[in-house]
Amino acid sequence: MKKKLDVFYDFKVMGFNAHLPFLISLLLILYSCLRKDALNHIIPALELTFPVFAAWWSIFLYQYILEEPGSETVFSYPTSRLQLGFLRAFVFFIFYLFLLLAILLIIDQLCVARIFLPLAVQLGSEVFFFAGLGFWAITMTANSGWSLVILVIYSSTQILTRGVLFPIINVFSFNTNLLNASELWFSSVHSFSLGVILWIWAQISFGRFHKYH
Amino acid sequence: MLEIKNISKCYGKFPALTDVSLEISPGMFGLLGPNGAGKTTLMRIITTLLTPTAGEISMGNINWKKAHLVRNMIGYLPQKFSLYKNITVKEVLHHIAVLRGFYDQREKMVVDVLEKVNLLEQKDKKIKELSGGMIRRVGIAQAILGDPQIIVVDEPTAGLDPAERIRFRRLLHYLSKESIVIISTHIVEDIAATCEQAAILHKGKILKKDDLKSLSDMAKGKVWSMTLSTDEYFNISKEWNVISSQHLGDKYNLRIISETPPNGAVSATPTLEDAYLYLMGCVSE
Ligand SMILES: Nc1ncnc2c1ncn2[C@@H]1O[C@H](COP(=O)(O)OP(=O)(O)O)[C@@H](O)[C@H]1O
Ligand SMILES: [Mg+2]
Repeated sequence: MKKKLDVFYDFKVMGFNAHLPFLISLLLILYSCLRKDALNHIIPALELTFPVFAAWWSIFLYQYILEEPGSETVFSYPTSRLQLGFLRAFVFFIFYLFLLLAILLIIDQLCVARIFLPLAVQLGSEVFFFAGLGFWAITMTANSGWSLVILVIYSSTQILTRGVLFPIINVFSFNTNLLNASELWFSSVHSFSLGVILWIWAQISFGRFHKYH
Repeated sequence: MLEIKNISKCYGKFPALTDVSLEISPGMFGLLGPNGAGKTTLMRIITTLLTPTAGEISMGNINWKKAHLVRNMIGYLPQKFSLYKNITVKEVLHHIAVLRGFYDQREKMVVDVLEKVNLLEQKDKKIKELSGGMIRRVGIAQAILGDPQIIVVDEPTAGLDPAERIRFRRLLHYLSKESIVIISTHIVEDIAATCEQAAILHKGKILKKDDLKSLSDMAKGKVWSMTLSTDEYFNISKEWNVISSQHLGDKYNLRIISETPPNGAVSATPTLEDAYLYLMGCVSE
């Protein structure tokens, strides 16, 4: 296959939006430093912010292609919609996963408890869900503003009602301690399955996109 | 030879194109029509962005049903071209070369196209720092990366100032030496200045397709010219279809379309513009 991914370019095009997840990561590490021994604060802080921002890259990766007038020419190139759509979002999801692992590794060194593995599984599956949610939202709305609105509505209603509203689509565990093996298994399979649905749905809608400006 | 056979396209129930057939040979082909005629829709079908509701397109042994093959031989400049405002011209074109599958040759290719569209000096400028005419030229540069056999440009001169417009036409004409260039426009002058063949599209139907001379001849015997004073001009413009007027000293030289000659008018040689206006007049009645 010819090389058609251009990751550095994608970063550059996103401008400030490309950097935001790094900023969030720094803040979370800082916060964890300050509250070293309060795992019951660190875990919720991580869960309620970090995965949500996984949607960020997914959304802004497509801002130019789907939202800007005149970008339709991109679809006339011999690059398949799978490469243009799913593949780019997935590569950035993998980057985000690495970012998660890096943060957890750092916090793991600071904290008393060994948090790395359980949180990597729990938050990793939530990251997968939110990366899919972002990709889904931007392909459905073709508008980064509305995609962010969807993201905010989803996160805020779930967080404020602590997952009681539509529990079937809730991915947050709201745990203050590490989940035990069976809870972890259940919650991550649940987030992951919801994520799979979003990723597939998003790619189908991206493949059919033809509302050129 | 690009063959477009019986193409129709509906948006829901609305027929944007009805039974459009065209044969386009190498050189420059013009698609002329008022706003809403269906030009952009046809351009998007030719560039595989939309699939037609009915009909077929082929060139040689390549059928448009195999969109991925077609995309290797097409360059497209859309009507509202603007892309990646915060990135430099060179970087944008490098990226597009990658998307087009020319990762290894991209350095040389980009320099080549920038030279062709005369933008080498601007290569390190950001897109947002360019003038409208320069952005159009970036648009052409991305369309001709990899020397596609078919170049499709949708209303390329809209929004350009007269000097830029003339340069741009010259550039398109130059490209038609080696490729099929299809240009759509509602500005007759764009086509009169550059194309060998043209079709007139109205409400999704082809009214006429031919070489420019034969198209102009449609209005033969219907175009008249006369010279009048200002007062007479006001009177006559109420009764007759005056399509252009030129101030000459204290008089006006008028061009009129009519089946019968106005009093004192002499027959004029029809231009493409006359023929287009005549045809539009016929269909709107
Ligand atoms: N995506 C769409 N959905 C519904 N109607 C459309 C769409 N795109 C274009 N049309 C309609 O189809 C007709 C032809 O449009 P278009 O091809 O853009 O014409 P032109 O480029 O000649 O101005 C117009 O009446 C327009 O309103
Ligand atoms: Mg148009």
